[in-house]
Amino acid sequence: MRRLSLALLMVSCLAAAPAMATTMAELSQAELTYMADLVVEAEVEAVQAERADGAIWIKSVVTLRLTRVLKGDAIEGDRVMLREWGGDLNGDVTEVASAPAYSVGERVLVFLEREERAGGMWRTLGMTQGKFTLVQEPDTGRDVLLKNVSRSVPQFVEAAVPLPAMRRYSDSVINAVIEQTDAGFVPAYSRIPGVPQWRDDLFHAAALAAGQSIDPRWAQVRQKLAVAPTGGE
Amino acid sequence: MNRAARIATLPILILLVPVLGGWKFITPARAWDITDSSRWPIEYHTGNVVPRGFDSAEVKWDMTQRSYDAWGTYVPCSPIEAVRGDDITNATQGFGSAGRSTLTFNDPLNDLGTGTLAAAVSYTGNGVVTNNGYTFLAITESHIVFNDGVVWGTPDDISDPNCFAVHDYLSTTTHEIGHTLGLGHSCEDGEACSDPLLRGANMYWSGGSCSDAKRTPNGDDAAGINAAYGVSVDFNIEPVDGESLVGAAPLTASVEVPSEFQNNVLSYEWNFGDGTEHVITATPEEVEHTWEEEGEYTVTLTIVGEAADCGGEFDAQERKVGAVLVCDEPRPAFEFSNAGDFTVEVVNTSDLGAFGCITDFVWILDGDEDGGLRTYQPTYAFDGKSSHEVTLRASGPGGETEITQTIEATKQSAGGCSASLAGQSHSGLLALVLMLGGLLGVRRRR
Repeated sequence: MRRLSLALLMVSCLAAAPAMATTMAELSQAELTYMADLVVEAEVEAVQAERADGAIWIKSVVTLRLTRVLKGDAIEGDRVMLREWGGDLNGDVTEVASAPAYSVGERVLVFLEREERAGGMWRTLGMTQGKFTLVQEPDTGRDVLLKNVSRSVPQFVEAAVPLPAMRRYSDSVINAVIEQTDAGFVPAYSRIPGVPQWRDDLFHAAALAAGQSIDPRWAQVRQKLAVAPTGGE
Repeated sequence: MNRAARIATLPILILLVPVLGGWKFITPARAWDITDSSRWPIEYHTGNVVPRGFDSAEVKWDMTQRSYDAWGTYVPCSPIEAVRGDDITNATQGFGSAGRSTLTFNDPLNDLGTGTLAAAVSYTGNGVVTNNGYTFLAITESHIVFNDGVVWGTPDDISDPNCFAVHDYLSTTTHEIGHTLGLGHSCEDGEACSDPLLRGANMYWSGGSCSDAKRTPNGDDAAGINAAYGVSVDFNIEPVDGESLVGAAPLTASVEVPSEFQNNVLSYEWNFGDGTEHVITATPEEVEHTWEEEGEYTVTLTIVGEAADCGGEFDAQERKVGAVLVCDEPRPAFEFSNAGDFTVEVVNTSDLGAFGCITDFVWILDGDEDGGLRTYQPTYAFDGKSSHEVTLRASGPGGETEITQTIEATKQSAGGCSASLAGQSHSGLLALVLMLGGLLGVRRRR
């Protein structure tokens, strides 16, 4: 399966291709919900690969049309744009392990955060952790949640997606998101890797306000992270 | 429409080909050209800051070198080498091409998001490299970026009983270096990943704090790195008297080693994953094996060989994770309870086992085959007080089995019942059957 006639073919057409991959910290559903600026059901309308000026890698700008807003400042029918690592620009491919891939026509349940940079778009929270594909169970109309089904699929055909016998239905997650959001639920405080300082401060304050008994060792961790790293001049 | 015809028109719901797990190359496949003295050994440059949690730049340099060395030290016959160059300006590096390989700390250009510990990117030129029959794009430089908001620790920090929220620098850096050497993840988020060797691989997709469990490359990591750089082995596995490696017990398959992997081999040892005695041969003859019991089996070939490049005798291993799936007949079971208002909630209590041996459920009400529902567990709503026969049919590689029991729809809620024995379905009333659950979810604008 890993034999290389295919690789030879790839080599011939994918020279100078960067590839990227990651190590992740696992996020719970409650953490995804709390940390997300936007939790929505949506349909992927467009996926446009782009290469930034001077960059060798490719990212994909994904246009989502929102069909249901579970959390955040948006309404049904709005369109939001995500920028994700990886993409295919005229056969020049950047492949990124753990980056969420989107396909036109795909329906998704996504947890989104804003990029922390000027002119930033949205991005999927926790990379693949914040994205579920919705596939309708033909006999009942219920949506089943699936992971990692749209990688390398240029046009998504929902009816062609095989469903497992044991199914996780979307309503279980959606109901949890709605309940947690409506109740202002704050998950147990922890310093989540990659969370900006200002957002961590809000999380910490909210956890205190919610009456959480926060492990005092988090204070030491927060203190270490609040100090600028030494060196770098 | 008869049942056979109906099934033929349904979308394919069953995936009968097992997905072989195990180490993966990042795509497109890429590796360093270890014969290119201008790029090998890898010269890497760290950002000129001290990562949070470390006392000094010396600790950073030492830990980084140990991470590179892990791919040479713990992988038999691996040629991986790396040397440290001068530090680079941390604040401006990131993933951009620099003409050299770098490690940047605290994500200065905000390329990473929430939940990411670190990421790596590798660049390739137009050259290609071949090894063990694989062809790779030749890597020219690689970049690792560590996220902000992470406290890093040394092995002493991690093994300290008071360790709290500290991430093992060696584990994460070794993992990212694995990516820069060409390896992908052993499993991705959302994959079942039932094999313990894949879950314990350094190249597993995630890592927790205060843990060194995945610090050292394991057998799966080693097989991947050796496929790209060292001495590797592979084998073919084919079903005997059947069309698939997925089926009912007993199932027989044959294994054989392609000629290109027979050079310099002194012995072949086969482990079929079912606890039976390993088969050891001095020659690469085809071997047949029969699996008698339900299970998902990993087949492992370990060779002992001799090669001057490896300094003499060496061993190499290839595992085909979950290559064979043997299933007993499905054992469907369900319980139900009357929820009132003539609604009956059904709970699927079938023994799903650990191997995915049930691939399809169909619920048949009052013998109406054409109206059968492919779902995990339905809720039935009726017009009025009534009694109905419900059949649950489960199917998979081991065959097809069904059970039937009678449910009562009443105005008031009541206790339930369960069934777990095979039975017969009966034709009966055509009731108004509605699927609830998702259909009843109120669409609301928030």
